[in-house]
Amino acid sequence: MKKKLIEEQPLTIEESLRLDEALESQTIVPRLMGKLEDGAPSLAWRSALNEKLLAQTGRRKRVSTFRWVSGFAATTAICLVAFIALPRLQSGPIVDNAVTEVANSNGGGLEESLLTAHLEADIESGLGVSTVDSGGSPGS
Amino acid sequence: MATRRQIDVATELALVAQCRRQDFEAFGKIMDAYQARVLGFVRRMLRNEEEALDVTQEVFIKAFQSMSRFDGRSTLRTWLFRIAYNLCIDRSRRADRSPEFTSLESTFDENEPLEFADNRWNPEEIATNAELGLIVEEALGSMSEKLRTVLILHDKEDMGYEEIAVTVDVPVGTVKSRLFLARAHMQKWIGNYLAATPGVS
Repeated sequence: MKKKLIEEQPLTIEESLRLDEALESQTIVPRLMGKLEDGAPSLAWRSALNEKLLAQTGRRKRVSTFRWVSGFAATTAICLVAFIALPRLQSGPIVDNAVTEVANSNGGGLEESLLTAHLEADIESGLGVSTVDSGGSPGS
Repeated sequence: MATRRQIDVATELALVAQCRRQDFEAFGKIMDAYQARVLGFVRRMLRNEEEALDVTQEVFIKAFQSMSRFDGRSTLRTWLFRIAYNLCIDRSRRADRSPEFTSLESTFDENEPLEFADNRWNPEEIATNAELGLIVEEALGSMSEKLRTVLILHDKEDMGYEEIAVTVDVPVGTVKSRLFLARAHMQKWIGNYLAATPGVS
């Protein structure tokens, strides 16, 4: 049984009962152990601990304040963006007046009007975009 | 002897709830109740006064930081001693004392018979022998940390087997066998002292 105890192997039921009995018969050591003194820590030790704990509390408060402020700023920013963007999204797509005017003047289909408006805009901006029917190669 | 300020369960739970709200005063009351006991335990585990004072502070700082994680499944005492035990183990590992690997065989000679009972001594004489306190401390220092932990928690701190099992994270059976071996070692140590001291039974 000693080997089992030292090697921390599982005991049989009988061995466990024997161990329980043996533990109950060991009375002197618990008595001596109970008489041992702990010795209170000094006031300086406690004071140092209090300071460390207060520093921890202060740090936590600073962190929580920072979190609150940053959270508030983020929420405000989101609200502001939503306030600006929402009316625009609700009003639908904006149609350029120039396109409408061209479409009306041509009396043709919308696609044709858009194409004409696009080509005119390109020519106006001076990008030199050649139209499909302008013909000619770049070298000619 | 240092007085132990006991807190009843209801007060303890109320203090824990206050501590979760970062109530420093409430935590102060918990420290008042446990600081000497935790320090006593750590002191005996580490056998180094300066380190013990340092680690005990660490125990309470850690407890204060993680009070929100204390779920109340164990008692506050078990929880505090578990933190203390783990910090002692960490400190010992760092100092290369490796307590987890200290074998029980190193404390016991397999061929030597174990003393089961200690009834050959006169309890009155033992109780009045002031020197025995020192002998007990010496004996504690001479045994492996595994045995020492269980002996202190059971016989000094009055913890039950299950409570120790939770603190040290071993099965209850292992707690019992370690406690038995620790007491047997202590008996042997005291027996040697008594035999060598004239006039003491």
